[in-house]
Amino acid sequence: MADKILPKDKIPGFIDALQKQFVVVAPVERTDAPAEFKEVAPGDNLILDGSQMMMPPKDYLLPRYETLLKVSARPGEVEVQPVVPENKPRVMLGMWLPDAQAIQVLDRVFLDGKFKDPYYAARRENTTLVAVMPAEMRWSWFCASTDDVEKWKPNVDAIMYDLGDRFYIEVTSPKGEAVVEWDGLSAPSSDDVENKNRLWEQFKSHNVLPFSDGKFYERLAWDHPIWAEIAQKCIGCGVCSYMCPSCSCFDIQDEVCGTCIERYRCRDTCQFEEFTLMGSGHNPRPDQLPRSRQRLMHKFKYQHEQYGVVGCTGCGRCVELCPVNVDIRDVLNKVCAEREPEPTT
Amino acid sequence: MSEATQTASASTLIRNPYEPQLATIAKIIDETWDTKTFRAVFNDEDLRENFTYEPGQFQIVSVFGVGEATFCLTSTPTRKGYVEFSVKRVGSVTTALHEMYEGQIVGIRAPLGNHFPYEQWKGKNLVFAGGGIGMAPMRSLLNFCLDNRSDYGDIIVIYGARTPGDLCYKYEFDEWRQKANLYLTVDQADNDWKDHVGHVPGYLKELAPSAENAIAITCGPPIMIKYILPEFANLGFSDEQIYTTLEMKMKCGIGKCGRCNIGSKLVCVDGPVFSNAQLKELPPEF
Repeated sequence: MADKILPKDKIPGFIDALQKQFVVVAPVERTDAPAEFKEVAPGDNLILDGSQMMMPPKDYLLPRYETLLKVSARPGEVEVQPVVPENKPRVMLGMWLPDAQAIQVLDRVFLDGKFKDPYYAARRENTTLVAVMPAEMRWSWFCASTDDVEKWKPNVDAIMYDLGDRFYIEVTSPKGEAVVEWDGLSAPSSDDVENKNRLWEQFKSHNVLPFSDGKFYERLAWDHPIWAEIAQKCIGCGVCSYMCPSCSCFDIQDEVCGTCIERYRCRDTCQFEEFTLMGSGHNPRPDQLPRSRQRLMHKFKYQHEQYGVVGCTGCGRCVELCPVNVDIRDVLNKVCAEREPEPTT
Repeated sequence: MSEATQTASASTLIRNPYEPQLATIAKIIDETWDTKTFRAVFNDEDLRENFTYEPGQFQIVSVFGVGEATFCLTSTPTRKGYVEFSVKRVGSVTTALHEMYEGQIVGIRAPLGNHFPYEQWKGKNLVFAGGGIGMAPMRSLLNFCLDNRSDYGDIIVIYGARTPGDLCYKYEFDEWRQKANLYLTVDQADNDWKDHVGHVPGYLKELAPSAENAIAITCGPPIMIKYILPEFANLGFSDEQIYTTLEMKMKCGIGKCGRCNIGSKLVCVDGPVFSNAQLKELPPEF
């Protein structure tokens, strides 16, 4: 697979060339809100430097609000119309590698199992993922602590390493070949290869924390006293899961406008009381302790058991955004420092 | 979203699991002061004739404009042409259903979830122990077994409720008595009550069915389950011999929305039927 160099001044030409074959989705600057992943339109200002996007790429693949069905209901006459997005060839550019790995987690949930989610599949199945490896690491990132990051490479189709005035485009899957077809790209020099490798090593060795022996999912015990400790601080705002690139729980509701009903889904979180509150009034997770436990056990243990992937990729958003400074890196360090791994069965 | 959308049709999509199938309410039975049973018939002729399911599976019912709610399929697949669900009036969707009348249209997504492993129970004795609305999922299996009566040994049904007025499916008691051993109990009797008085776990202890070559199926309020499991254990039932169905809040019913997650299981796809042995492997959350 032929890796290529993209000089940064040629980015507009590169995007134009891609748009001839694909719908290009990338982080687009906004003046009225944080930048977000959207389909690139003429005049959009793209952010491709690998500085971490606050809004995760899941916002494109699994929109915060999405209409599932339109129903027209008159007495004795009901018509249901699913509203499924068009499945077309897309390239998603500019997501930082751990955000791309988080899409693996979403894929396992939405594409695998007995039922495939047709809405997610329409946006995802024909999409080429091009990740970015930034030149500088950020304090909150702890990706290499959660997983063997070498395993992540084949999960994206190409990686763009930020080498200052140029990007080194590493093709990591056959699907990624299409991204480097443009004749404006050049072959990398041996210096470029060396610089790219240096960035990779920097990423691999950044913030490797004490818990990162790959066994933490076995050490998370249901009855650990740490859950009470987190629950005392946590205000249950849910920002950790709303901004998490791999959290995907949702709610389904009906909205009525005259005789037309829209059935939509929107984000939800295990941090909210109503998430598990049943009609009878019974709530199996009645306070913050079981809710805090659920989120972390789900990410670090249950999803690993279910899908063989860790539900956290170390992007650090929850560490940075938590209003009461619950730091999951500390939580995992504490849990792992105190407990011997349980025997695997 | 700027994205162009298209209308799904059979040619562009394998069945969309979020799309409810339209069904007409054919019959409404008043079970108790707060519970009604609805019989629904699919509007689509093909579906009406070919739709099938297994005892223990569930459905998600839409009241369009109000929302969806999850109910077990309380009818048996051996009686074709319709599906039934029993609804206790507790929230917005159940209240809207209670206000509906025969001939109105609902949406149904079904069948969902796993089912009772009745194939493995052929030749065994079955002990049903149900409390209140917990009889709903068991009724599907019970009527299924009664319709295949020769496949099973003794069938014992212990069914309890708070008062005689809280018992559902009274119109089927005669049939159950004929084909099985039906034991009724209430917490509080009225003047006409001739059967047992007391809680289901205590009645089970008194009746003491043998655990040999037997399967126990129990469903009811959490407090009943808590006290009945030790009684079954005392009678010699192993965890592998005891089955129940779990109730959890659900939205999608297809393993995506995340809210019925317990440990590494999702109640909507890995359940709702679990043996007590399987339940013991899950975190003690429910």
